[in-house]
Amino acid sequence: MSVEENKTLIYKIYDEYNKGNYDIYDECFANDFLSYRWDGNVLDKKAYKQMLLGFKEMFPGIQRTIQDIIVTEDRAALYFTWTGKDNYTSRGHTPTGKLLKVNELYFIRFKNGKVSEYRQYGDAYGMAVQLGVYVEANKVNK
Amino acid sequence: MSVEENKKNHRRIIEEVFNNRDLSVIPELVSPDFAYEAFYGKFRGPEGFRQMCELQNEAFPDLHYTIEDIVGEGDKLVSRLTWSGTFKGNFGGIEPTGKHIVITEAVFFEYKDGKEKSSLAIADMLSFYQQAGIKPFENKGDN
Repeated sequence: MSVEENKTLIYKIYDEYNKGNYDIYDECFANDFLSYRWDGNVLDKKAYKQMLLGFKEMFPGIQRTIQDIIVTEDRAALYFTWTGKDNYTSRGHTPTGKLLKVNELYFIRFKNGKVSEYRQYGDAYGMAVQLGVYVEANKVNK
Repeated sequence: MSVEENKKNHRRIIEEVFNNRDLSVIPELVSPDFAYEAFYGKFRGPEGFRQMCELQNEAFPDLHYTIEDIVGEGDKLVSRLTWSGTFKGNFGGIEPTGKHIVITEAVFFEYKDGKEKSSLAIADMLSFYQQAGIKPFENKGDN
């Protein structure tokens, strides 16, 4: 695919995601899609969509805003910010409804006009601090 | 400047400046417009870049980066990196623990006239603090 076609595909996925249309992943992801997370976990197409549905419950109103994107003929790098309300219930956390804002950076590969691979880097630490689950390390004991 | 020239700049910063601690080449590689902000400071221009490196080198004297992958287009570049270092000195108010830490990160760079102008890093800081053995870490409501 051309650079422009790849770029259009990414914007289409994120536009549809923001409308709540998670079926877009069935359409635009290759069947052998894999997502490699920074923590070592690997998700296939079904597991990735399940994770997104879980996030929708944990962070109602979740929206992704593309901040910047680099695209080549077979690859892309995407920097986006997501916002959503805190309905997080793990780790003994009581949801606050507070609006969270988290940065993520993905490396993307394309194959036959579809997305075939993500390598995800997310600011999990920043999210934990916003949730109040963690205290910023440089502010501990001060 | 081409994507290839920006990649070459990035590799030189990683190898010469960070891994070999040669801070003398910074003015060749870093834009006067350089700006970076982290919890341990705000850094502007080549001089700010040098200060940033000095702080990192004091905290992690054996700091080392490995470039895993680079994607570039126009004046932008994203790099996947593995970072390692032994926590030997104060880092932004955090006392050293002597632990060796290995984490991954992805960084979004912008270039101007072939020199690094800005960067946005998403590093696995959860793993960083866990490996560093920094406690207390959980918020018990007393902070």
